[in-house]
Amino acid sequence: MNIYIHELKTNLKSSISYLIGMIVFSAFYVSFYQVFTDEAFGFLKMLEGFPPAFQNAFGLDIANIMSPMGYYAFVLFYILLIASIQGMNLGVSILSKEEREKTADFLMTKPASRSWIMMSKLDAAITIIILSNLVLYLTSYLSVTYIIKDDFSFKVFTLLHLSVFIVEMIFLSIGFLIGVFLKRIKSTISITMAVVFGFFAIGAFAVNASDDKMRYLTPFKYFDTSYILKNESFELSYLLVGIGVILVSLVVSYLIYVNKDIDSV
Amino acid sequence: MAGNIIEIKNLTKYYGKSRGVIDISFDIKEGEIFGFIGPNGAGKSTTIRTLLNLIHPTSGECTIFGLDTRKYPAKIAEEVGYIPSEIFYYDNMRVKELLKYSASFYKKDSKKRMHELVELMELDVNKRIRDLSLGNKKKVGIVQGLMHEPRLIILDEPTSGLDPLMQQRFFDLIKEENAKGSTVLFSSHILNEVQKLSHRVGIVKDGYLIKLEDMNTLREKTYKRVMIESSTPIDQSYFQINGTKNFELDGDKLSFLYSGDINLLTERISKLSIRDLLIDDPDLEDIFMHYYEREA
Repeated sequence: MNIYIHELKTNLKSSISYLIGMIVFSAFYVSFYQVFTDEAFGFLKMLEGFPPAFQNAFGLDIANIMSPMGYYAFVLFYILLIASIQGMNLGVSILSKEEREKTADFLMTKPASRSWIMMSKLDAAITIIILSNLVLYLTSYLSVTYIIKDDFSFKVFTLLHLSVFIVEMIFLSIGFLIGVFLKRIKSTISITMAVVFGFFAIGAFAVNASDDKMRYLTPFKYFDTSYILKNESFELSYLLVGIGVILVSLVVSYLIYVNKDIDSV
Repeated sequence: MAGNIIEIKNLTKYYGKSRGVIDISFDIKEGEIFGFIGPNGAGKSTTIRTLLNLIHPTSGECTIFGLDTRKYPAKIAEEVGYIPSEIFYYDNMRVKELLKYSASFYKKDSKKRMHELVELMELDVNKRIRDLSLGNKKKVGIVQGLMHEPRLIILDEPTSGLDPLMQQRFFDLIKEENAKGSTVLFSSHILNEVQKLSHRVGIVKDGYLIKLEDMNTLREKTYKRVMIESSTPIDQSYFQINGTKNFELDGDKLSFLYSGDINLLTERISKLSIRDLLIDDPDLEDIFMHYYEREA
């Protein structure tokens, strides 16, 4: 419990910053909904002028964007990017910081097994992500209810947020793997940005490629918002792959972590 | 007869192709202060880090309290205090927060001992770790390493950064802990430190343990330092007897190392007109060089 609490305290400031960023971003863009729908014709005309590749890359779903949840899915596309950066950064840093900041000797010579250390840190990271997503979900619900006002599907709203949570978990677990695999990580944020935007770029390429299998390569495309809006459900195969990536990443991270040598400071 | 607290059997560690230690075996008995000496890079820290399960052996095995260090590191750590050579803690924490966090890992209530040690080390617990000098960080290391009154204390070059007064206080503290029953493994390249504390030493060189000896036996079996000041000029060849070496002649003063029958030596000395004479135990530096030269 002590490592868990220590990690929650250590990550409190940055987690609050990410959360405020996401809430402000969400509320800000949700507030534009009325303006957007009032000027619908002009906006649609402008958006249709963008090449399809550009539309896809930036989360523009022209067919749905005029609906409350279609518009909200567009806003959430960017929230997803912020959440992915948060998840990835948390995953990369939470284990590797002990080696980077040379505190591993202190922690690992205490009566705590490596599996316990990893589980405590993982629990703390998951707690942060769950709480962030929960607060974001509630505040977004309020902003969508009171600002957008139009009727919307609560189920779709919930599924969209659930998809953000799962993608963030995927990035957290990939971050864990990178964090234990790489030696002497100097800057977690540069690794985070490289990986997240790498997957983002694959995502842009994936929707442009005719082969749907390309979507398996990036977590950004596991939850297609058009599909969620239309079917009020997730695509099972991508959901399973996403869960699989989380489990495999965490199991491999565990195996590496319990067997790795901690270099001298 | 005291049992073994540490048992190391055929320990070998390679870092890729680089040598760490090769086929090291030794035991440390309960209540012993064991000095582990050798120059930097000889393999002292590799051995210690393997015992602490920070690194994993290429082959061989280590046990502490009869438990395999790879299988039961957390159980072992409950009764081990470790003070590393370089101290790094969470920079944003205050000293008291760090000590509280450290204490939270142990089942024992270590508050009383913690306060005693903080007082002894004259530590300001309200300072943040990042604001501490190297010496003060070391003091925090000492307090966190000893406050749970461990059965085994592992010290890896522990006095770097401490001023002489604090070093002495630290040695006294270690002796005190040892008198209470703690076993100590003490690695250092500062031979004088090991000499002050240890009951037994292991000398390590290039990854190999080249000598394992009781401190007193080591002194007895090795050279005596002889310094003769004569009122008449001394001919160095006069002392060219079996067991003499390292002659240094400075005017009327002759000094050399001697290992052999002490009667032979005194017989020769008695025939000289002596102004001053010193026959002393060599310090560990001499012993160390002796073994290094012999094994080279």
